[in-house]
Amino acid sequence: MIIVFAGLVTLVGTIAIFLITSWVISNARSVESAETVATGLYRIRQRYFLVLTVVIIFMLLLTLPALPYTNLASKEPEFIVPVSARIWSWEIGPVQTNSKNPQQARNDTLILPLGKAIEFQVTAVDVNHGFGIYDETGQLIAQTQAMPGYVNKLVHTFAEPGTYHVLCMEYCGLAHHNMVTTMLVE
Amino acid sequence: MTNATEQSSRVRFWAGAYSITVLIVFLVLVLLGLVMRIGQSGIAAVPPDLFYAIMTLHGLGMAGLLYTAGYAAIWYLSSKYVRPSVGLMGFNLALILLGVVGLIVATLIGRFGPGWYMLYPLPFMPTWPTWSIGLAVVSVMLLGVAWLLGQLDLLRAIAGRFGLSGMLGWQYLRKGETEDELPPVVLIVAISMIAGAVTTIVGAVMLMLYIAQWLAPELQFDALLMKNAVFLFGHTLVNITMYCGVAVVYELLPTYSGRPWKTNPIVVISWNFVLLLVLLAFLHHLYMDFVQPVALQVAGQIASFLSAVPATVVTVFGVMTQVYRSGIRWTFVPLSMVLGVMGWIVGGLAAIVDSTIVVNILFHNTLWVPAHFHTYFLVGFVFMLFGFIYHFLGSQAEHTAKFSLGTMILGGYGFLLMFYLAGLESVPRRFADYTATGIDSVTRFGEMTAMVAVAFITVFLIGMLIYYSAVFRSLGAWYSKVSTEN
Repeated sequence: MIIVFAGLVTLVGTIAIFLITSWVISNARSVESAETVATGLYRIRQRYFLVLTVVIIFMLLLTLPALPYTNLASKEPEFIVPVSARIWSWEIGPVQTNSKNPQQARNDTLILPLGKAIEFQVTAVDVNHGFGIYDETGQLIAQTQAMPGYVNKLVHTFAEPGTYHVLCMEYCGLAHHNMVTTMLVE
Repeated sequence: MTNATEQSSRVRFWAGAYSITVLIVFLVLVLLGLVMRIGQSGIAAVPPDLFYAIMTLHGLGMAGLLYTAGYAAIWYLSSKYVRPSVGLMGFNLALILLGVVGLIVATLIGRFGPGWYMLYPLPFMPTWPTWSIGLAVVSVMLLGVAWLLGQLDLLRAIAGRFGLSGMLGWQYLRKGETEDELPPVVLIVAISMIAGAVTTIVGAVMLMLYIAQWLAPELQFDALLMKNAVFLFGHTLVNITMYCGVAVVYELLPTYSGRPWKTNPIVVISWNFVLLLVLLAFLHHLYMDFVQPVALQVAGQIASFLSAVPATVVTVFGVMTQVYRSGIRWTFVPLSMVLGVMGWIVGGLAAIVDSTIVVNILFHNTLWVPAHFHTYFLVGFVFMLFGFIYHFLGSQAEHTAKFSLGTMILGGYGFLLMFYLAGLESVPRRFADYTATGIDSVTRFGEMTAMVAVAFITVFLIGMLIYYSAVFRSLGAWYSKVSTEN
């Protein structure tokens, strides 16, 4: 949904920019004084400025409350999954319950619970990597960076069962494109 | 300085030397980009070590070359109003060429390939020879020294003529008549050079730490701090490159429209505001580092959104006021300027979309990212630059030049569309090949869009070569004019 919206905004905006440019280019021949043109265009500019200000404020109010950062989350995740990246492989799991004394929820096979909020605690042991989760349709659905010396906490709830791919989203050297693994959700 | 003519011919000579160098190196770097897309398409195999070395050279090369080109253009245009050092310009070209040779050797021979922003600590991985790391870092430092000297020199020249607050146009905000008019090009150059100098110093410190780690591998620096530093430097460099292009438009378009483009309080407020925004917008590169303080993430989005205000309200409406019903003849230069501004705004729109944090989590490091920056560079800045060089060399091959522009638009936007579509399909950037992802749609779409992009890059290249034929035709006449004046 967000991707469709982003794509549409870009497409419609680009078409509008093309149209305005061709309008400006094709209206250059007939001559008017610079003052007359400036007066007319400045009037439009004033309105444009107001509209742009409203759009910016509206978009900020719409998007900023939905930030993905865990320190803004009102609810605690139910499960925790440590993720460690190194060139060029992933170490994910085991799945742990989120309590003061975390228990391993499942055995060593990485099976993630469906419909539960999971906090991926993502770090790296060597260089920067990117933990990118792809769903079965091949769409990137969530990501965070894996940075040495830091733990980035990404909370995600899987809505569909299936096999999810993990790709490295931060260039990390010669076999970066091979740094792939899968996670099962059921 | 003996007389104004001598100054002017020496200024022209060095601006010409930079322009020719830029055109040659740009062609080579576009060809490297073509090789990358060929490799990604699967048409021909490019081994990963070569692919990533080329990727590093293409990225560092383009970022550095386009900034250098933009600097040379505004240096030339500013010298109409102020006196920057001509000798330094020659010295800097030598430093830059030395740095470029070093980077070519480090990447193509040493296979040094950590990408253009050399994200710490990747450059220090033992996957490429140690000498290539040192050579690459020293080479980038040479470029940085040349850029910083150039920025400080232009600031010195402008401040010497207009004063510290005068160069920022603050006199326009006070009541009463302004005695000393500040040309918009000088204002934009001052803003860009301040931002450039501050952030290049940050880049220089970072590179010194890189040298320290190269000499003492046991050293460890904070990865998040280094990432902030590299993007403060790298993002700002790219941003001010764009502003150099915009400054060229402010200065050259009135020559063709016959309408003055003067500094006024709105232009001053707008460009002073840009100075603040340009130093904050880099934060959007760190959205996916969740440990970064949330206030900085929010500041990154707000600064990125607000950058649309001065760009469109002041510059775009300024361009419209210049040409609308002006009776302008659409020769190559004004056409490339206006189309360059269009490309900048299209790329800016895609950048703002990506700078929305909830969108960025789905677009970060997908091909949407190269889509937007190739838009404002390739069909934005490069068109402005090509217009400047054509104007500067006094070229008159109008039909050829306009035909080349049409060809480059077709090839350029076609090439970009493939990046955008692949970004929407979540195809990651910086993959030497897409066969190992295990995700059918990513592999198929990644290869297919790269294949179509190869065709469009070829069209763009043809357009470029036609443009080159138009400008190189006038080179002989230009050179004899400059040497006669000497």
